[in-house]
Amino acid sequence: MTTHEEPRPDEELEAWQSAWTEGEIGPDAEGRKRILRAVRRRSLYYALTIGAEFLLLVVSFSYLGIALVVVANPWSRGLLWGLLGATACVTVFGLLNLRGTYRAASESLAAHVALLRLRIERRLYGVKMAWRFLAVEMVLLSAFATARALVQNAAGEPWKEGVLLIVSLLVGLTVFIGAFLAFVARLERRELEEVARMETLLGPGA
Amino acid sequence: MTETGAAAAAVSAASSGAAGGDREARFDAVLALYGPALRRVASAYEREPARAEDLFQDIALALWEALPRFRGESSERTFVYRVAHNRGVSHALRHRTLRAGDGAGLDEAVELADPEPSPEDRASASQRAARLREAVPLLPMPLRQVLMLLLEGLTPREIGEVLGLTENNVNVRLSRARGALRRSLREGGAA
Repeated sequence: MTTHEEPRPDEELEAWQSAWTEGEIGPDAEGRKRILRAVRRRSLYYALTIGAEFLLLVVSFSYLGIALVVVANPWSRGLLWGLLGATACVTVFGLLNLRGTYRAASESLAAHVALLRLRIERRLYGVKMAWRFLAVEMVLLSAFATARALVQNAAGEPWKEGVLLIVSLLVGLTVFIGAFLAFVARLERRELEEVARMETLLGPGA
Repeated sequence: MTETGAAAAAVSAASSGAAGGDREARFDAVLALYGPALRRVASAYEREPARAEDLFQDIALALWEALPRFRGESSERTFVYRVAHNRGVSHALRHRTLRAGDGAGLDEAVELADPEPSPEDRASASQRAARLREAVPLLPMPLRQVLMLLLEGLTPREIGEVLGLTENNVNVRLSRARGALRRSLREGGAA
């Protein structure tokens, strides 16, 4: 027997509920207008962010396209094709992720978390594809440069200086972009780990 | 008609108006009815006030975008809470606010009876309210979610609809959540 009588569960819950909602009143008409303005600003900011990303992609594709028409050097063209492929990979997965951005918010928690995972996986996949594209491009260009150098060497033409310059540029650029993509992939993996933790946490049924 | 009932009727009226494109009226009605609750949800997912405000605006934006797609498959209340909680979860992921203790509490037994009058009983109503609002965000996320919705007045079935859980699962979590909250309030009061 206890010296203190525990409150009945319903009484306890009622007390908690009244304490939880105590003193809270809804925003007045002016407050709601302020929230609506903030929402519109955010909406616009979001649209502008996406617009800026699109613009960047349009500029990148235009630049790469024009360069492909203008540039005749085979190594430079190879590099441009590689960059074009890598940009296309990132673009495709980015566009896929844009679809239904807000739809998720209104679906079940399980669907929402699953969609979060899918989006991260898509981004990660896009980065991986871009990295693979660049790696394949580097191998192909190196092979091409070597073959060309051998041909030029056999023909007694000067080749070393130009080839070395181009190859070092290619390697440098590819390593730089590769390092950047690896960094992005690391961030995405960490986010994926966080989603996995969330899935474990929310448990079965969620 | 109660105040909540009148507000709900206003939301419904605004919803039918939304078919004609009155999205603002519908959003306004939802904010008028659920504004305080949405703030409480934001505060329960994010303890830092500036970030909680940011999360509240995020929830408002998600509602603004999601409301036109609401077709009445569930009640508007569960729809609004679902959007809010999903945004809360996204926020927790983005800001990495999952805590080490978030996984705890799910397998713990319900609390033991306390033989002494609890400090909770002795505290004034405002102190109780303040302690409750401090204690709820500290609970592990799965328990916090169900308890928050219970405190907002949702039934276990509605909580299940919001979180995508079975009613049984909700009841089990609720029992643990209430035990954890009792313990937390006692420890907090004793400290």
